[in-house]
Amino acid sequence: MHDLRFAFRQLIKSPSFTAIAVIALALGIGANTAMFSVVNAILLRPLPFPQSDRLTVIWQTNPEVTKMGFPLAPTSVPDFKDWRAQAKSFEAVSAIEGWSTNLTGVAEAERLDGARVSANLFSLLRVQPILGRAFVAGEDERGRNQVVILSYELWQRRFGGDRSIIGRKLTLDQEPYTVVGVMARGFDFPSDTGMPAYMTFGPRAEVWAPFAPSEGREKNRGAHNLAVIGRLKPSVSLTTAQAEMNTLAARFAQQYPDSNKDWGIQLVSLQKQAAAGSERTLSVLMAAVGCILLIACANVANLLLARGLGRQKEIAIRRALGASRMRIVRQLLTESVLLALAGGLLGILFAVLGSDLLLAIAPKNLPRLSEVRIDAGVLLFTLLVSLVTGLLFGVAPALQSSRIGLSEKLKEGNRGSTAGHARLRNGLIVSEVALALMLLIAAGLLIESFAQLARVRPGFNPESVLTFNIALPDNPYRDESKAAAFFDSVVRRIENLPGVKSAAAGNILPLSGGEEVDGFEIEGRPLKPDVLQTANFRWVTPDYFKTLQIPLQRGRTFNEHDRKDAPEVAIIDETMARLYFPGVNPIGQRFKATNEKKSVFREIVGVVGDVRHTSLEAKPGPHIYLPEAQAGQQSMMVAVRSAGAEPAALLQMVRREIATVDPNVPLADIRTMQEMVASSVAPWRFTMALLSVFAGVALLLASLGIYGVLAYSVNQRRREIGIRMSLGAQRRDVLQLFLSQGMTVTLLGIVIGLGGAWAATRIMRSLLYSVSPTDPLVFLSVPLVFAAIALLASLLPARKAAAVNPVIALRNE
Amino acid sequence: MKLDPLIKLSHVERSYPLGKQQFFYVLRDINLEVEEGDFVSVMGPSGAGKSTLLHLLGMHDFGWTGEYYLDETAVHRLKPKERTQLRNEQIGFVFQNYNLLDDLTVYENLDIPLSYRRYSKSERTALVADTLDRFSIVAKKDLYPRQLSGGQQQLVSIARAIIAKPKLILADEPTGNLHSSQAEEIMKLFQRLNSEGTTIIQVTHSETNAAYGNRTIQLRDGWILK
Repeated sequence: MHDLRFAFRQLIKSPSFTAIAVIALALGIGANTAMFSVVNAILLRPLPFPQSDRLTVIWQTNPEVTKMGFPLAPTSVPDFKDWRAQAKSFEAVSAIEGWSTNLTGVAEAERLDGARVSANLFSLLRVQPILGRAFVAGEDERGRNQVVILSYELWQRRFGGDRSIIGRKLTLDQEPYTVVGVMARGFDFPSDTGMPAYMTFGPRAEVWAPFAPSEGREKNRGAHNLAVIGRLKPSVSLTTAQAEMNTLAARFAQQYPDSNKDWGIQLVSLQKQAAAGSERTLSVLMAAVGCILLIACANVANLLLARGLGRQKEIAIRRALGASRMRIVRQLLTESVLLALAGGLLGILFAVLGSDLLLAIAPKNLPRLSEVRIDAGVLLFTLLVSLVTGLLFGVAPALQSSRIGLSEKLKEGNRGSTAGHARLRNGLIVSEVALALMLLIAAGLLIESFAQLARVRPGFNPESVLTFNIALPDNPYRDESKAAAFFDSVVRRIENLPGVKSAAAGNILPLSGGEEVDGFEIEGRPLKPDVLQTANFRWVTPDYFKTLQIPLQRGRTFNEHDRKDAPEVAIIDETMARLYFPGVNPIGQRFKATNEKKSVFREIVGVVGDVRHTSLEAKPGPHIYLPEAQAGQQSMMVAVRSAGAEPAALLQMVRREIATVDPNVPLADIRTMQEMVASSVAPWRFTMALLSVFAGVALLLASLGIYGVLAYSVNQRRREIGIRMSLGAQRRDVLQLFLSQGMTVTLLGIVIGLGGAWAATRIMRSLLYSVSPTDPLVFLSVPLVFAAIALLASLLPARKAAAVNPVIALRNE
Repeated sequence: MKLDPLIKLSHVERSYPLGKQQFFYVLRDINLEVEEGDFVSVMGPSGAGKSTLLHLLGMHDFGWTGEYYLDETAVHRLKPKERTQLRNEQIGFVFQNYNLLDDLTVYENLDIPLSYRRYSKSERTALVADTLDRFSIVAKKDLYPRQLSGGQQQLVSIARAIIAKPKLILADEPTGNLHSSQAEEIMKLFQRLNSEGTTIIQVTHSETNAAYGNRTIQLRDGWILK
């Protein structure tokens, strides 16, 4: 208590020292707290379901499917039913399927994201509706599944929180559904975050209906489109369950070789699944803030060392009065821990502001973002970090300061420095510089990646294009010709609107996040049994290439004559032409798509430029475009190119035109094409922006560190400067002396930092685009910039040294 | 024909501002001539302005008024850089507490004034070797100041002061930290240097030390006593 009181008094006594140290620590601790609040929400905090650690996703695996880029595959209805019946490791198993449905019969039709789920999903998750009931056994059978549960948010938004909603009939996809329950606020499982894109989950589920598969699907083991989730029995570990599922998979492979040969089963904990893909980014960012904290610690340790020198006489007196060395160390450590706690307190404030900012710039597909908050767990983390920080930066100065020669110090007063101090201080600066340089190089690599990405030509022109999605209900659009007629009519009407240059529809637009991969066979080249020959298929309306400005390389684009009754045609992209028709003119060649209902050979009539469909960074794979009129898709994305700069201004007119064709069809996912491009690079932008900010803070702290050490050194060496001047040293000699002192530690730090970066940036490989982790440009330019800034940081105290008045310096002797 | 004095001060004053229109005068209307080859002792009580006068003569201090000629150069008209250059050419310093650089060896301490005067490496080596020999401290060249006695440190300090062959040595209480036998040796050394042609101005409290010189100036409250 005495130590604490004295420590408090000491900190109050030197307010500027305390302020500088607390701010440096608050920056370090605040950055760590903010980042930890994100890591805690995404990776550490249990999912918001009771005993969520028992929940696992049950995937299937197949080497051929892995080759197509999908290491985890959904399962088929018969396999799911067999697992449910035979797996002993699970208390319960549920199937989930993405469901996008049109709500009509209300003031404004709306597309809702949701899921069709086994009746037991809610009891498996151990969640209950706040109003009404969950699904009951048997409701996931055909004919009994016209019931629906709403999310709290949907209930509030569309029905004003009306409690009489239970029992009311809603029209979803032109079918009547009875509302049986409303879930609690915030419940939105399943969402697309962390889930593979092909699961077609929306950003948050708002409506749930029982999953009652058709008779055809009940028998088809080859149709993989279900996500399955299980709750492990309390006594069963994930490993044991995995072993059991391996046995089951082997048994099914023998039992159903046609469909299940080479299909394995992979369990993934739901927690891990929800965080999928974000671990690497978050680890790098957490390491970055860790570095900032270390740099802040080194800075404060340096301040404490300097302060320790000024307090040598006080410490000597304490020793003379009988204090043991340990007692002195304890006193000094109490001061540093108190300092760190003050830093932690201010750090929490920084973290609250920082995490708001962080959430504002975070890409929307980062999972569980809504759960990010500064809670008790995060505060406990901050407290621990503060205590450890206090010990970390306090222990070396405390030991150093307590090791003094008693009689000399009592005689000398506050004068003089020791070589040990200087070595420790310089060592701290070297490590600060090394850490900051590593961060700067990491940020440099990400900036370079982002710049490379920004230079990527997507293969289409995203400017002035409005896009939206229309999903037609089965009734009355199950008939392909009706769906085709709907989209034909919509596109024609939109094209005629003032301010519209052209309009088109495609089942998947570039960068919209969808994929449709399937096999094909070229005429005259029978498929070899073990060779996977796939391409991405797109169904488009005639003006698709004109609207997106995808250049035609050869042949022709589609036109109004490419109708259902006309000869089947296709257009391919350059990659497809290069891969499958090398040295041959692909125009006139024919192929057969394995997924088409009508197994006919289509003639290639044109070749268009490559388009980055999945993301800007992924190299385009082979693509095949088919005329929509020859297929009749129920869900299409519409692209409208405006004549003016602001495509979003067309939205109201477009809505009116669509309502004229069918008032029960809502628009969904309304975005401009440039927004789609921006959201495809959002994760890159996020990591780059954060790491750049962290590197900036690190650079600032390291520069302050260099400045501080030199400024202190100038103060300590005033007498020496005076002597040197009296011996003939000119201003530039003194300037040089201190600049070289600053630059020596900087250069040493840079060399060590370069070595560290060389080793550490390799783990960032997956975060980089078109840039090597040891990119020479970054590895050369960053140290140069750093050295220039360090030179500036050294210049200020060096100039002060050069301005020392030798008379005063020598007289103060 | 009488030659111009080595040093000529006319109406030199040094003051520090105390407040609005108020000044504290440390040196007042100093008129002083020092001939080449003089050995002058400046005496007076503490606060009389002795050290201020020495630093002024050594061109460490620029905040004075009046006229100062050194070897016929009008110091009061020189720019700071030119004063530094003139000081480097003409003046060597000896301090009471030796002011050797703690982290440099005896050899390096002797070398440093030469390096500031941009002597070439070979010249420096020759001069340092010569000086070490002249002061009989060759055996000590690799020692650090803390490994030397007070007398030895002052010996090195004097060697350092004369190594660049200055015309004038300014010594501030050169024997203040030494016991009497060491002090006597140092004063004899000054006497020898003076006899070899070096002009010396020393600040001292000791009549005995002052007796080694050929002239004494008494300072009181910033004034030279006539």
